[in-house]
Amino acid sequence: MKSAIEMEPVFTHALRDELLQFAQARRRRRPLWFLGAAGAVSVLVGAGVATAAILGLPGSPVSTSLTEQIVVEGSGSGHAELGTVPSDATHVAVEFTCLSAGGYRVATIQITCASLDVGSRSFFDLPIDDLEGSAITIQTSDSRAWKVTAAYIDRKTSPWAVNAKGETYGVINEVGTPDLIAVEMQAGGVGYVRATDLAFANGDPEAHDFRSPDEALRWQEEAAGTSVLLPAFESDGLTQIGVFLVSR
Amino acid sequence: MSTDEDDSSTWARALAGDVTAFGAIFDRHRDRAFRHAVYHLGNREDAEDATAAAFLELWRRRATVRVVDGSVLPWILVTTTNVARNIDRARRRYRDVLRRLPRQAPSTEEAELLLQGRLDAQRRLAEAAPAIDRLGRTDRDLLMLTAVEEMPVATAAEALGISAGAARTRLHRVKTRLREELGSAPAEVSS
Repeated sequence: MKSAIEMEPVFTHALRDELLQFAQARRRRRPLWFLGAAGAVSVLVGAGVATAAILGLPGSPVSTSLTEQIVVEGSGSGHAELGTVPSDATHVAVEFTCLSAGGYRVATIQITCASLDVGSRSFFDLPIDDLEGSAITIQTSDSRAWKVTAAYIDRKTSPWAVNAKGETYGVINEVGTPDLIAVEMQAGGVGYVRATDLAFANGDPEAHDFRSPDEALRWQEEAAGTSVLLPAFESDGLTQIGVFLVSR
Repeated sequence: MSTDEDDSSTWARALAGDVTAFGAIFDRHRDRAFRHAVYHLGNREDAEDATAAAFLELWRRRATVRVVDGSVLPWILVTTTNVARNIDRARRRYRDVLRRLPRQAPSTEEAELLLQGRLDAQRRLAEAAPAIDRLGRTDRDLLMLTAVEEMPVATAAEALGISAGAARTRLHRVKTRLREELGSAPAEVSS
């Protein structure tokens, strides 16, 4: 049975706005390597990050558009009909714009637009299985307006490359982490940091051999707010070409 | 709709800088975190601060957040516990955000509900409470997540950064110890 204890609505709403602003203000401080983890190039576009840095790197997604973009606008719950599904389509590349503040459910994706998000676009790739036939289902209340731009795509993840030492290199993706991780270096440009260096810098328990969770938490407390510079290499893992800043 | 219970894709979008996805994570887990905080702190204002701090920590430490079984909830609950234990430090760290949040004095009815919620939760462990207070932090967290939050042992273990085997051993030890101290094991504590 659901407990009657819930956060007070006015407080909840205000906290939500504060959290989004907090996240908005700090999101750019994260290194580029992390963005690869999203596994979808379109998300990077959505985040307003230069995609050129990651596009084409080993391990990044490669999408081929199979159809023209279809634009559907509406308000309240409805469907965006995309037409016949091409046989080689794996995903639908979706650009969703909320034109009102509030909650939307776009197929399986929950999107909540605070007042500061109105008019902003979210980008994501929906697996074909999440469509209802050949349509994207949008659920929201009657008064909330939205716009969907979508096209069928064939999305594949390119394999990581292997250097002369037998180390894998490329971007972090849904498969996992390569030995050498693509990063945007402090002075710009793409370099590679060692996964082991990064895991250690980030306080990954497996890299540290912490003896207890207490020890790990103590490390996190001490590291909080500090930065460390890691060497960034060419894909050979030998030639240092710059540094990568990890902020903790 | 498979993503209802699964945070993985939403969390990935949040990590990629989509703050609306971060909002969705908040919407999904805020009440559970708040109730967890109420259990530890017993009053609305402290629990609100702890919940706020836990979600601010979720974003600040997002690079090291563990997604357990497709969910960030275990991480949020462990963090809520830690924040609740040291609420003053959390308040100092997030002073600027916290003081902007609107507060409403809880009605008498609400205050009773909050107290009742804490008592209900505590009653489940009442027999063992003094003995639980003497447990180490990891054992206490483990017991809290499995007995109070009814989380599977493997999930709680992962959230605490220990192996499932170690968690079972710890729970077994805790159970034995509580049994010795209390004369019988509380029903909720199982290994």
